Amino acid sequence: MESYQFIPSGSEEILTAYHAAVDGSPPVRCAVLVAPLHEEKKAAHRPLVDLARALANRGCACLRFDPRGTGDSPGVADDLCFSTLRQDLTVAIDQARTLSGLEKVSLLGVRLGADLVALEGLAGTEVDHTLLCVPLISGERYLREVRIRGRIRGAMTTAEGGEEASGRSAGLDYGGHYVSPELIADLEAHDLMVDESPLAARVTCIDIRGRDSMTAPLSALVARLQSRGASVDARVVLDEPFWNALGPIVPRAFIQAVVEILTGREDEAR
Amino acid sequence: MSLSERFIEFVGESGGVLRGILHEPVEARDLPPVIMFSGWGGTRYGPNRILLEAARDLATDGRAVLRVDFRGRGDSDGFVDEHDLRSHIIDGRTMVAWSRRNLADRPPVLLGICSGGEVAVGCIFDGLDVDSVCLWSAPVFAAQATTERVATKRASYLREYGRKLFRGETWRKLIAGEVRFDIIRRVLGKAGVHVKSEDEPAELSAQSDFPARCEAALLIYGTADPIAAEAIQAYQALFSRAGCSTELRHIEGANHGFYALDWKREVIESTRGWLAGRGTAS
Repeated sequence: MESYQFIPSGSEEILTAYHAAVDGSPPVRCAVLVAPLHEEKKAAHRPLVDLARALANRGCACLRFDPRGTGDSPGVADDLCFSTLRQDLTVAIDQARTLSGLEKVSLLGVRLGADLVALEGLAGTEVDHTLLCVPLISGERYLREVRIRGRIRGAMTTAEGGEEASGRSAGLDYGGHYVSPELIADLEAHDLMVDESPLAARVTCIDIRGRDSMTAPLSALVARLQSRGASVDARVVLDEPFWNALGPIVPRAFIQAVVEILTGREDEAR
Repeated sequence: MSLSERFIEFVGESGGVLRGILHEPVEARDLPPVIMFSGWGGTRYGPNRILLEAARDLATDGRAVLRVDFRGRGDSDGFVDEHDLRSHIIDGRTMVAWSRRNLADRPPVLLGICSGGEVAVGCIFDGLDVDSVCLWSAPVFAAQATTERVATKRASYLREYGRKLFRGETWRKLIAGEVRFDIIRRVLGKAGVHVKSEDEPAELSAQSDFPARCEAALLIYGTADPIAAEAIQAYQALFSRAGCSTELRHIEGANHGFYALDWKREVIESTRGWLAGRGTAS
């Protein structure tokens, strides 16, 4: 059973989707799924729905949500920054705990969503496990992608993305998504390699790529988290980077891996 | 002025649940509701949130707007790879029926982006009366992946990959083995042209005609969209045969998905202006 609800967050609301455990029994676990931003969010939308349903089939309830100014939630991109994103994540965690009846939840983030998960007070008693799927690690790197993509497309057409947003001061136009000066500043300052946020009891770093070895930046992050005393598992999943897909895809290997990690059972939904 | 947006869900013909958002008009006027159809792989808010932003603006203009995911897309039930243009058209008709039962019992405006435009046209081919249609970057209805079409799109993708070779990031990925050659092969193979299954509708031809009422059509394409020329010609001919007035707007420099803030805004404002004119006329 799935229930969709707008709930208050800050001065506005966020849209939440709660996937109850399918057999109707109390969930064995509950996971909050945190999507990427901008066009990556659109591409990752359905894969995260499929993941939530697969987890619910295995007794793990899930909560998905659209932060303010993204997806179907109220708000505009002008107000989007790390502080609103983190506030919305906190609200989503509370909602997941209320609906599932569980004290602790797991957090799974993809790309920038993974970075937010890593930043969120992980030592809090309410989070028992965080899964970081292909985190950006560095906000500068993301901004570089934004600007490069803009220059390439700009050269191919008359103007596009990653350029100064006309009529707005200091923001960027990322392929039709406005990136506010506040979000740019947050991204410039963001670096998980130097971050000292408290860590969850258990961390799993997941790389998703075409070969069976972890990228150097993610390997370095794993080492960094371990050096801070975290219990970190590293996992490479051979699958498509679904957050970049042009068409509809089902990242089956990724879904299978997460279902196994969170429930210890195989995904048998199909 | 507050916007009223509600989550809605209803059962489609397949028995699965279709889910989406209803934008209620800020100040209701006697205008046909707008039903939005997303693109082939998209969700109800559209690329760069263009459908959501357009819906909010149209609600401010006094229209109810419905944005619902097709089966196997977004939050709706169904599996991703089990659905095609035919099933999307059936879902589109279900959305129209819901609109007529719950919003206003009158022909709606259908607005589709990319493949969503094909769904709008498919609904009219199926005999559904509509007030008007807005097609944003709609490809030729049910177009087969012919050699020529694939070549046109492939050339456009090759230009993009060629430019990527000048990026340091690309060389870093090549050296690190991070470039996904399987994806590149797939993109260049079918070139993003959807290969139709046997059950899907027949491609639009010079003899195609529709049996339903549609008073007016707005066509919007970017001048850098490789599919635009053929689609514009086909749709102008189709609507002309049906006695439906057609207006064409070009977005200078824009690509298929209108991926820039200015282009997005121009598409939305053009549509609002055109619909406002229709509202006055009807």
